[in-house]
Amino acid sequence: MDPHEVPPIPGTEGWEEMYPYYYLFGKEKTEREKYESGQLWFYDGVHYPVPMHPLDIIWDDMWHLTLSGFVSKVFAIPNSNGIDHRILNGYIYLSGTFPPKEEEERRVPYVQARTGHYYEKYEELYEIWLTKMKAVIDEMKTIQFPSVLPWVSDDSYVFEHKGYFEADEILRAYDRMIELAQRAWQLHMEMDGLAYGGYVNFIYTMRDLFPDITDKAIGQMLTGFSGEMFRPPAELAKLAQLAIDFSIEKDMLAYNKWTDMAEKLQQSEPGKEWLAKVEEVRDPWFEMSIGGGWHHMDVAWNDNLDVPLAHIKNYIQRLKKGEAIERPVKEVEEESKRVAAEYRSLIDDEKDRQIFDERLQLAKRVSIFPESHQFYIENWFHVMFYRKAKELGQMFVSRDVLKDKEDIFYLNRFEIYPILYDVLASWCTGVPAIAQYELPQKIERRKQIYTKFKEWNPPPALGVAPEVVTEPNQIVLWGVTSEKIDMWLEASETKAEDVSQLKGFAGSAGVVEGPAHVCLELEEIAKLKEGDILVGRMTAASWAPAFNVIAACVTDIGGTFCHAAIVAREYKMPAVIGVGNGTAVIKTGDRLRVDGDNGIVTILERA
Amino acid sequence: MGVTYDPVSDMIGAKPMNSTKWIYRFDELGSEHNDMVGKKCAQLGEMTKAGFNVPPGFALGLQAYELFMKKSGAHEDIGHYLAKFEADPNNPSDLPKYDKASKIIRAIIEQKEMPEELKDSIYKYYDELCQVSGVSDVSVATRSAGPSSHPGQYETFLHVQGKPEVITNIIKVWSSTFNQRSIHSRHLTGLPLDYDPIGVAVLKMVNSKAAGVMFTLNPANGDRSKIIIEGNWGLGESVVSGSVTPDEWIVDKVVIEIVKCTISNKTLEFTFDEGSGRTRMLDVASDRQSVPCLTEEEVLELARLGKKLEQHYGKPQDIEWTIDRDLPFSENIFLVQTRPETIWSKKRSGGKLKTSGSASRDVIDFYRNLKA
Repeated sequence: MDPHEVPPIPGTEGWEEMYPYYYLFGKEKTEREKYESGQLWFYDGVHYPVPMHPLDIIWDDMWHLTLSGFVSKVFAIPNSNGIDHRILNGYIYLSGTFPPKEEEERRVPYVQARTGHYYEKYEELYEIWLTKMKAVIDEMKTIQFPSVLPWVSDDSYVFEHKGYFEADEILRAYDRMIELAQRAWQLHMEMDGLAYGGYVNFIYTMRDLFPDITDKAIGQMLTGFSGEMFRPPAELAKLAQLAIDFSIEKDMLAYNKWTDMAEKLQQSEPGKEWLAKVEEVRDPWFEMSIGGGWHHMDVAWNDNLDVPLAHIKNYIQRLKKGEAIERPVKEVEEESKRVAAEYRSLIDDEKDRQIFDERLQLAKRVSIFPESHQFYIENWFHVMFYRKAKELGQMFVSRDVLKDKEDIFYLNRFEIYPILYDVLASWCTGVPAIAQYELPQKIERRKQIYTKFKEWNPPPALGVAPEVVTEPNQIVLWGVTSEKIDMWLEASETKAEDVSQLKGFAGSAGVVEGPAHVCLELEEIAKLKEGDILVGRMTAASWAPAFNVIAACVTDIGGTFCHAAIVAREYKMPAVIGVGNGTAVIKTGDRLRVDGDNGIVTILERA
Repeated sequence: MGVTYDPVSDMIGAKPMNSTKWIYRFDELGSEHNDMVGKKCAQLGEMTKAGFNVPPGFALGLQAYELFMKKSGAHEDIGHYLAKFEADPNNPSDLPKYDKASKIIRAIIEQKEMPEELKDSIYKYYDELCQVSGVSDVSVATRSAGPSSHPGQYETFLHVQGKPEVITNIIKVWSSTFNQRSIHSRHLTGLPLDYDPIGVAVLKMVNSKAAGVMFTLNPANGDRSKIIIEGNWGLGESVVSGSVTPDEWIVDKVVIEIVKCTISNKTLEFTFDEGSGRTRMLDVASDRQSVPCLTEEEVLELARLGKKLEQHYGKPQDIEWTIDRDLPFSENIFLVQTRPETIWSKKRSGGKLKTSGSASRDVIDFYRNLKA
């Protein structure tokens, strides 16, 4: 379907004003619209399982700029200009863009010198990167907004002769918060593209050597688990073990609320000691988002301690049953080495073997970044941003321009700036802020629109399929291949109830049957029962503990190297990835067979 | 003339150490006995000793052939007949002469009695096989087994039951060294016409649900990380002879996972026909035609066995297997033959990858070439 011909959702008229103008598909018969009609646009469910709140689009906007910039300008990759972004009914659509042919040659000397420099020093540069990233996080910690504006300015402005007053600091804090968000995403792309380049090159090398090799087998060779992303769940596992060692696990299993549990634990010495241990690790390891980190609802464990409590309780129950809850890291790593050594032994040509060694080594060297940066950016930085935004929201509430501090997420980052001036001036002049008269109604309207967006199922792809998909990042991360596109474009024309089988990538081996549990919202994760099959648009890193409970995993979006596939392989459970419209077709309670060997999900019985 | 053969002097001259032993249980044999009992028998022994699931059985060595030919008088009669035989192997119009010779010589051999001392030993080994199998008159296959560098293509008889039948069919395997093709090819290559000793494997018949072949590399492209399994319902002959389109599975050898599976419409199977008491090609019932002839666990287990065999021999193998109808999984999988894969193993394809000399430069080249 042409992106311009998607029928509007009744009752959402005027939704476009919520987002930056450059995110919208064109409405006129201009060059822009012609370009849009000729591209393939695929829905980015990997990052955004739900529609975008206007403020949350900030992350997407940042990497819209920074991914494309590091690809085309910084590293001058000859045949890519990165990825263009649009929004439709609240959902983000992506499309690869390419430079004119004549520019490719011009970029060659630049790309070789620049990427060569980074690859050569990748480990060293990663250490430097870490320092830069931590500085961004430290500065973000200092940003603050007062919940109430004082009736008179603080003495310090006068007696320290600052020459400005609170409004100056508040305006700067907001500016700086946006700047830091932008900087965090610059840093993200400094190392990210090269890491995936190393991965993807190795993947294609293996395909040249062994034509029918599965992505899963390649994935096994690249597995390594040393990055920071693996720390938070490991800390929860340790806390679970500690609770058992202290014999306080019964007190924990009895509660669903962290506050109730903590109150009980405060009554005993071991309980207090356990809580003290939590204080030691929660900064930063509880700065893990309860979701993917891309939406403001994905707050930190620190903001909603009931979530880590549920995970800890789950670990305790498994430990009591005598199950091992630690990731089988050693086993997985040994298997990874065995697989690599065996494929190597099957390469006849000595020079090929040498190239294999070099490329595997590079892919493994760069793997530190994919496995760690997500903790710093998508989790730690993002959850802090949400916290600061809510502080600002609270200030707006105190000036009667918002009803609830969370309402701030219904405003995009460009809309907040004038409201800040309005509110600060009104604080000084004593004249009510103009926003007070219109903003609450506007937010109400936006909430209605958002609800309608949520009920809509975004088509997996729009526009026209290119003859072949050659953009490796799209293939590897989003699972966008020519074959999938054809399937997606076709799927949008079949009725949900007529579908009994879905095809996707064979993400992780094995065959399992069980009841489906469709998880579109975070709350659903907590409701998963032993043996359920998780069906989601995608999965987030922080969902990892759920993998202790479920029997298999099915996702709408993603490739063989997306999070769900990696984690499922690690837990040795079947997974089918990138089925397109699983969450639309499958209902909670349907009986499924998940065939992770062949990438097939069969609906055996409707609920 | 150098082309005639004297079994007696050959027996005395060649292998005095083993000259008295001519029949062996499989577990007494190994690859080193290729020339004594024929390759097929020696490899059945090698696999048995290495712990693979091979149907139980025994092998008659080349010497048994020689003893039979001499003591039964067959060799002498054949010699008389061949003394008058004249034909030009390079002249196609002489082919009917070979056909006629084949019929006459095979009739000579098949009318001979098995000498008593041979018969007694064969009975003893057959009895033992019946005992091991827990059945009286156990059904066996009598399979020909040529020694190394052997040109002929001989015959095999299936579902042979009872002592007299076993004897008859062993003699028929021997007589198949005089089928038209074999006489002609011996003549063409200057080998003795009256003599071509082979071994015979007598092995318990598997009640075959499905059977077929397996290569421990992909014969289509030489990819050594793959195992190709082809199978059909019934006995393996339909697959080996190429008379049906079999089901095909491609399994990754390293991670042992099916990467591709093609289920064919299998309309015919080679199987034991109760009515006629013979094995023959029969129609497959329509409801079984498009059902895979192997379960997934059977495919994966076969692949594991193929991988082990390749490791055991140190080179890619071409294997025949069969699945028993009644035994439980994993006990039901039998290997009935293995030999080195010859086509790709000789070919050296050279490097498949290009490099600019540094891994990071390669990444850039890779990006560049992707769109071009």
